Amino acid sequence: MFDFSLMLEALYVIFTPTNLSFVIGGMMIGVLFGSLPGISASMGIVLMLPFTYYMGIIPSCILLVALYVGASYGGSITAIMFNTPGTPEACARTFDGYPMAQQGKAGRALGLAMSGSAIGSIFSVFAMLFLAPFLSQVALKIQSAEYFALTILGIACIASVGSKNLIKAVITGLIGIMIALIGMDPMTGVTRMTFGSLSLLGGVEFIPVMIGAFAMAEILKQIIDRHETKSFDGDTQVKMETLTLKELFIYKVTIIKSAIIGTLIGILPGTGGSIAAIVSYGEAVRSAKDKARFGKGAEEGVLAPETANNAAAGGAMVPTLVLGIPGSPTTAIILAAFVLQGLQPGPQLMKEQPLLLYAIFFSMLLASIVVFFVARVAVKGFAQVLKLPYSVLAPVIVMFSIIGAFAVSNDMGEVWMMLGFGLFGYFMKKYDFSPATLILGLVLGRMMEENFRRQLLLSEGDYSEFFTRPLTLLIFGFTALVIFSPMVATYMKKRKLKKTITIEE
Amino acid sequence: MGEIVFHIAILAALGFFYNDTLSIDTTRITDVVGAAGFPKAIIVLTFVLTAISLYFVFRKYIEESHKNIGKKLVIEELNVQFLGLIGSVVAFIFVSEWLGYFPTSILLVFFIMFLLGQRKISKIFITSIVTSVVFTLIFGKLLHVPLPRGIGFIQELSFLLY
Repeated sequence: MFDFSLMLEALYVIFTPTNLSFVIGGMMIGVLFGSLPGISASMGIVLMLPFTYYMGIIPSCILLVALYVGASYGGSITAIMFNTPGTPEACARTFDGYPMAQQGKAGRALGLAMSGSAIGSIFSVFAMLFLAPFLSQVALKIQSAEYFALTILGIACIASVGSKNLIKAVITGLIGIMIALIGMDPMTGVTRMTFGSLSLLGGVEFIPVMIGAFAMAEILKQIIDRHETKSFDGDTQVKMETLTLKELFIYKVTIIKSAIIGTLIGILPGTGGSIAAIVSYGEAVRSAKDKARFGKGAEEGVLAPETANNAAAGGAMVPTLVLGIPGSPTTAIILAAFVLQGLQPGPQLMKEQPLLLYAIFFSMLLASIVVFFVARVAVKGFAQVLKLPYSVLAPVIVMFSIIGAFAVSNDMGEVWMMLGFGLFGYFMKKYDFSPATLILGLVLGRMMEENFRRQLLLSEGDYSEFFTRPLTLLIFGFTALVIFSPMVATYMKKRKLKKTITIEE
Repeated sequence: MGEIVFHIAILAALGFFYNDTLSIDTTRITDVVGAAGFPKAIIVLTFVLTAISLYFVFRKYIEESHKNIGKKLVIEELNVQFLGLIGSVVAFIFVSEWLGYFPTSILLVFFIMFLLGQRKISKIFITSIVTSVVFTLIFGKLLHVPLPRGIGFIQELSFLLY
């Protein structure tokens, strides 16, 4: 099954000084790109492409995949520290990461994120190495009905994200879906809810909405909170404690579950890390004994989405390399980069370029290990930023928000959008609506509609297709578990309590 | 009271969007749901849930109204810092087209720091310049984001930096 001499050769190739420097350099550039709002991993890879023209095939692939691994982690830095998710994938990390940073545990939150991302990547690389051909065949069997079921599963996580007020969380989730539907209809090409605006034809960009609803809204909230006490100049207490490996072991179940969820979802073409992060966060909440901790700085709430997101990043490489079908927008660009190098990803790649394939696997593995160790040191530096007084920090976050929104499409209209959603997000927070579920709806909305309608088209309007396919039923079953298990658990708890009281009496 | 107003604003926006879905061209038929089907269903569902939520909020407001008798209505958002921050971002959007990104970002950071109570002019001055230089170089120079350059001689000068 495995050619160990080829594996050794691939390791030998990676550990040459030049390639090793590409792994480390690519990873670090990736972290930088990932941490800047509005600058995604895809953009980072596109910007690095011209440099790879003059490299050999293997070094260029090594550089790009290392950058990809680094960027997957980088997104958590601004999400945790400033509540500014630079990508939809980073959104779930703000739920508990930012509250941890507010409690002075930024170092620990970043440490958790970094550990989770490294473990998620390592897990998915091994999955890729051992199961790539098998998993890619399974992924090919997935149709629109399963994708639709998967979006429903993602939406079901609203129950775990919007625990404060479920009805309001559902409202904002639905508003998110509605916003996602703005623009051209994917099936017929007709315009919908654009109010005659040409800039809305392509739909609403996620990033300005996210930056507005999270970062800008948070600044406005802080201003109101601190207005009374006039505490804009006080230093924020930041504990520099990071995470020991022993402490990480406590969360082994969360990590393993999230890594499996992330890898499996990542393998499905077109899904990406956002669903993986949201579903694994939902699962972490569902399986936790004390659910009330989530949203207030629960460590599993940082670890689960981060592990799943990076596992999904690795998982997305499986269909990209083995089938030539990109699993996410970023892997689509990696695919294009490979094609530029004269490679043709697909079933033939495994036969024709096995060394390259192993080199890619091992460079991802090495980049993940480097993230694990190098970022442990860097975390302290990142967390120091929070020691700045709020009167200095706030303008920096405003600048990040403005430029992050602008850089998406180089249009000031996106800054207006960011500001508008900043205000909307502020009032949502104030009145216990959930900005997180808004983003959930926004990310999943279009995919949900497209797959629902595509399946109906395939089945000639027969709705029963959604309930007869085994894999769809399995996902729906898991969705039911996510929705009803907390209710059943509460009921059982009450019953047990009642029984105890009756016995005592 | 603010929560009631927020609910009503959401309902109004939903009505506005629903009205627009009525004009969606549904003559191109592909599937049974159609181009307008999904948005309409989502809007109606959101409307119903928001109306239910409004009912609960209104009931709570009535129950608590006796506690608020004699109390002065305070809108906490009507303060200089809150409105000043929003105003400064709006001003940035307009002014950056004329002055260019770099000078406008210096002004923005300067203004926000002053607005949030920072009174050490040297600290404000250094922070606003350093922040703007770093942002301009990273995004304008390194990442080739086409930042606004302003007009006239400011535009010419901007080419020296990014």
